[in-house]
Amino acid sequence: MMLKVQNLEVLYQRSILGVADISIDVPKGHIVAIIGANGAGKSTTLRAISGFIGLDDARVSNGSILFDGRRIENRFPHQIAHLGIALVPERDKVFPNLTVQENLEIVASRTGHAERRHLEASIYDSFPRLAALKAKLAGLLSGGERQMLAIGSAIMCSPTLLLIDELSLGLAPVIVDDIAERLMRIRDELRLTILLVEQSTAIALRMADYAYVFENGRVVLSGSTDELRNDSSIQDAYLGTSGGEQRNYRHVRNRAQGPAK
Amino acid sequence: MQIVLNILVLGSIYSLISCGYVIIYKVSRVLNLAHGELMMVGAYLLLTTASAGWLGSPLAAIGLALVLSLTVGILVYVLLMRRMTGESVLAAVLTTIALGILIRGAVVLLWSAQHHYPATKLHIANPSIELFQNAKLSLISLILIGVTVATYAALFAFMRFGRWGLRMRATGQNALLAAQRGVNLHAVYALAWGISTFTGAVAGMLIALDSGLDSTIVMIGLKAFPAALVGGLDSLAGAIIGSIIISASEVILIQHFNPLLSDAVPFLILIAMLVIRPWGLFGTREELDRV
Ligand SMILES: Nc1ncnc2c1ncn2[C@@H]1O[C@H](COP(=O)(O)OP(=O)(O)OP(=O)(O)O)[C@@H](O)[C@H]1O
Ligand SMILES: [Mg+2]
Repeated sequence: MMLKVQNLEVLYQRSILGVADISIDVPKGHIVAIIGANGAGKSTTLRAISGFIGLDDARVSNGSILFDGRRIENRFPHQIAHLGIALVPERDKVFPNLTVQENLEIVASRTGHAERRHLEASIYDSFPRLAALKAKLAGLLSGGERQMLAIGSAIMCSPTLLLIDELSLGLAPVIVDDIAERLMRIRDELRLTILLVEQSTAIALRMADYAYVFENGRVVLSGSTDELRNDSSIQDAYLGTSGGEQRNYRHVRNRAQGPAK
Repeated sequence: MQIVLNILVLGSIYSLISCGYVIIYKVSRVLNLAHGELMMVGAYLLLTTASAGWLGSPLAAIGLALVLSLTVGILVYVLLMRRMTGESVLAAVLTTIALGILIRGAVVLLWSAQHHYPATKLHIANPSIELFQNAKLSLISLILIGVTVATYAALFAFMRFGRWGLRMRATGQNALLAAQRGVNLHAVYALAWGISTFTGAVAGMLIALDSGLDSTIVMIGLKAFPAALVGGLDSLAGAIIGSIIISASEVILIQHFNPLLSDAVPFLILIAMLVIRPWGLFGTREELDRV
């Protein structure tokens, strides 16, 4: 298992519960999705994996995070980045006062010069839009361009595991499809493993092999995306694809077991 | 003409000092209120290396003092400010105030309160040079202007094109994201403290070589703070403009009004600025909310 999160509990400001008890597995080469309502703890989970700094005033207070068999909880973000985990954050994902090129330039990658040039070429190849905007300030980019740049600078870290917080947030469906398609191509090229957080169930189920559903800081359901797609009771209860009725979880089994090994 | 030269020299002194305030603020949003004292330490380090006979040449003494100053700056971060990284900015600022008081005490203990002349010790002559009719400058003042120009040119180039300069800017904008992109925040902050103390020390040494050294030199460091703030604390270009404004007002008021005002003027301008435009002439408006 590439990434193994076990009974993760995160406290903000020593007292506010961010997530209560999260266990997820991400096998090498797969795309795993996390879905759930606002405040369910999706971002907190990704940020716990990628590391907090003092300013966050947050820490993993219970449980463990294993990456390639190594415990990484509560390490500095740059150490985790050097191990091969890169995050595309939900908000503030680029440096607005730096140009597109500089945003890629500042990345302290764990690889040598030649690999850097190669990654940079791949990024501009996969996102030609960025190549045209090299000298533009990132603060002036559109939402879609910003997301491409965020993905690009995460890839510049030369990760083996890519964490993406809300790929589709605030983007038009056409743009999301376009970005998702390019992401899949670059993922194949670099053999990336992806852990994806999504508000949009449709996108999550389409991209991922396996998905977890979070509710109030816990995993309430998980399964392969094929299973989840075909299970209409799940559709009703968690995934909100059948309209605006009240959610009712009682009749749904908890099948949080993790993906097939 | 002489008055223009005087403004230029004083403006250079303030510029060379105030860039240190700007660098640390830009990178970490911390106001280093011990900067004047660290500048003083640089000057006294030169006094010590100048007294060390085994160094041979004046250049070696200056070089060693510069290396020591850089080390002091990095050590201040590693031993003291590192703990504050990512914590509340207020705690960090209070720590720098305490550090400043500590340094003042230590300097008097170590080097005595008496007036020293490192230039004499180093056998550096400081002749007056007549640049224009009736307008003279000391050689070291002239060097100081040159050093200031070179320092700012290097800083601008570094922050614009250097990879670590870019990382410093990125860290100032969003430290968490920089860390997530693999940037070691401790390295960035240590570098900022190193550069800041180094440039401050250069200023301190040149002032001490020009006009001798005692602990009142710290006042010059304090007066450079209004210069940095008037320009906008996160702007290097602003630091130059602010320094010129402060030095011009100071020189003109001494000349035409009352020399006793000289120490008060920078702070009067500072207060006026805080009332009218607290983020400075070139500063970023939103940045101030975070202090
Ligand atoms: N910096 C913080 N300080 C205190 N509490 C926080 C902080 N960030 C998040 N929380 C709390 O932690 C819980 C989980 O939040 P999180 O951002 O992980 O949710 P999410 O699933 O990503 O939601 P969304 O879909 O809205 O992005 C929420 O109750 C939230 O209020
Ligand atoms: Mg979120």
